[in-house]
Amino acid sequence: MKIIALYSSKGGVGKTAAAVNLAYASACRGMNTLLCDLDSQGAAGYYYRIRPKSKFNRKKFLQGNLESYIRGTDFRRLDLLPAHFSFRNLDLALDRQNIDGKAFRKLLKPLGDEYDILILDCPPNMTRLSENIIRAADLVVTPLIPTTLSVLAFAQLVKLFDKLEVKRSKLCCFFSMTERRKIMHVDTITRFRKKKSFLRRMIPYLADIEKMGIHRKPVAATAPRSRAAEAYNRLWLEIYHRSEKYDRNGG
Amino acid sequence: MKTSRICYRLSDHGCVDRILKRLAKRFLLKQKNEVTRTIEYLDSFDWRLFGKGVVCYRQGGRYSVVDLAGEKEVVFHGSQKKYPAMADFSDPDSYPVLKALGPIRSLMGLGMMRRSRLECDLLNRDRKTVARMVIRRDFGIEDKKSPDFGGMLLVEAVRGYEKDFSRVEKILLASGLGKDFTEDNPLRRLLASRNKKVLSYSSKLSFTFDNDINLPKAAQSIFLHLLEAVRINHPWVIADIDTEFLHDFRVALRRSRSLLSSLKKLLRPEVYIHGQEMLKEITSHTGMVRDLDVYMLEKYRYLSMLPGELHGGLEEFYLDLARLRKDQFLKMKRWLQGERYQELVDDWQRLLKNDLTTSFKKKGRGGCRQLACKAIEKRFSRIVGDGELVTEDSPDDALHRLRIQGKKLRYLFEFYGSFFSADNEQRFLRQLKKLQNNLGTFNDISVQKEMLFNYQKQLKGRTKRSLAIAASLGGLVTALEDEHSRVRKKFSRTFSDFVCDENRKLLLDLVQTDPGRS
Repeated sequence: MKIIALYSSKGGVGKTAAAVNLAYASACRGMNTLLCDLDSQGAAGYYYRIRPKSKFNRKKFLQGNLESYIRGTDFRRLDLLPAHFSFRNLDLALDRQNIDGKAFRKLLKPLGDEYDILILDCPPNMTRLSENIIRAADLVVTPLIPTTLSVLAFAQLVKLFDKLEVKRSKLCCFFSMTERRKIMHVDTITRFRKKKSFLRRMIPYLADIEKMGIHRKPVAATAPRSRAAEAYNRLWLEIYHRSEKYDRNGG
Repeated sequence: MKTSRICYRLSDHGCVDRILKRLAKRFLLKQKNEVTRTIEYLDSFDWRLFGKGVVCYRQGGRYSVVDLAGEKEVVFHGSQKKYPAMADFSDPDSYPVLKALGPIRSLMGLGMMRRSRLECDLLNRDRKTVARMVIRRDFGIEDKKSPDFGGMLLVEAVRGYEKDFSRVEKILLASGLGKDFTEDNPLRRLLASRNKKVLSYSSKLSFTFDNDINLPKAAQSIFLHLLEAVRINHPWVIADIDTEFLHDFRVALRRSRSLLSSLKKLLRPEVYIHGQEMLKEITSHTGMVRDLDVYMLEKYRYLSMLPGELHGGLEEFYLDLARLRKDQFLKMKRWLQGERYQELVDDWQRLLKNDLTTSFKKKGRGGCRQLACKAIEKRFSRIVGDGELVTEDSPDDALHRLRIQGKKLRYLFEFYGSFFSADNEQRFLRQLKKLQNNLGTFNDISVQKEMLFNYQKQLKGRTKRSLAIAASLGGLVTALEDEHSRVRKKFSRTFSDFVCDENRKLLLDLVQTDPGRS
């Protein structure tokens, strides 16, 4: 099972939208996929119209046995582990229980019997939880709006990777919510796009993606031929190939 | 990805509206358009997939393999050939059930039907799908009055919504639906409309005789059964769909010859000679093609035995072999379609349809069980005697003869197995099988080595092609020689296991003390 984390310390960059659409693209390509929502806002669950089971909470999550709390989406081969409001203190609980990256990965390991791909939709912060996710994931994918603050956040993330002694090759980044008409966007993209950790595919700022909140479905399920659906599909292929390459090179 | 499915039998189509109304009180229903398509059921001639508890159908290149309870369905895209074999599927490893076909059998159409399918998702208040439902109805395709093969309603749970699934189950049970639907129902009905049945053919023999049946009667039913196997396989041997038809055709003839030879001293000489000559003639016309089939099936094993540089030569050799097989097959086909073949089979049938008592000498008209036990005991003693004479220096022929003895013993158990205790028989046959496997492999390698060596000698000229073939065959003969010695070394151990005291006692128990199970 490949663990792919959608992570950024900045909020509102399109992590959840990417996680929801990439998970759908993965399932459409025949892979058994689980989307794990770690963000207490539960937006991924909202998009898939899934509420967490009544007995599920942070404590149950950390105890393992996650299989019993997984729910099927409306789409074949795609399941979701919804977030719970109590996840807002997940990092504190990890700290209290002294759970490190290895233990966090062990928590997710049993899911490997059923799923080929596990996508983690992470909350926007830089805490103990983020450290564990970075250590446990096979690939950390960061959406980046081509603006100054986002670039700054990305630089901080690289620093965190170095501090945790995690290989930078595990990190990849794609431009999100891009708008050609904005000079700053164009300049930032031109400056960074050829760097190794940047993916070629970008997600433009599109109304179809915003409408996901109305349809409560991935873009490709409501508008399969739209630019947005196409962009996520291509992005998924690039991420998947990157993760394969990462595996081949032995991490 | 865990999913639970339940299938219900739909007795009449009118009840569907009633069920949907009931469900609509508790769930939001999202119906999709009803689709009607023609599907074709498939299995190998000897029902290998059904034997594994699944049915397979296809619609164009889209295959569905469903277990009989309808709980698991695997859908994949594959070959659109009329008779697809495992090699025709791009990724057969992904579909474990296809492995039941092995490299030797092809799928064949069992019949076609029209299938209408209505899908309906059941949603909760959040408009989230909590269960999926399929309503299916099958019809014949012949004409407008084509038979109705019945319908079924399938409910599939969505993970994490088990309570909703239970609610659906309760509503359906309250609607009077029975859970007695199995996926083979439509197939059985389709076959019944054509006077056919599932599992109608198997190459395995299974006779059940009364303990007091006399030998002529038992022999007659065995011979007739084997003749039927010859007749059933004959048109398919000519159609050349897969290699197993010719194999089964020849096995039926070989079993008949073996039975005949075991009755040599009990039959009137003219009957025995007449039978043997007829069967030998048919067998001789099919031997070459079968040998070539075996070589063709060994291709990938041979390639794995050679280094990559020698693969080119072997591929060329196989091109020659394929050409030779084509020629030989045409020859065999002409003969099998000819008058002589028909005459021999009719003659044999005429003989078997009459009362066989007069064909037997007086001493052969007694109880079958007694005579069978005697024959088995005698054959076993012979194997023990011949086997004990085999030393490390004995020629390959000695092992070959022993293999034939083992085969004859095995056939005797296949014919008369119903006289003995099933458990003991199985235990004894397991040991016999181990010996036969060893001897069989040894003999196959001997024959293959000899053929490859002779082929190498026949190669003419010093062209690039012939040199490449010679090099490959040389490499292959060397590799086979190593394997040959390894198998030969295992013989003495395998033989000692077979003739151990426990096994001897087991056989004596079988033929002397067991009361029989019929």
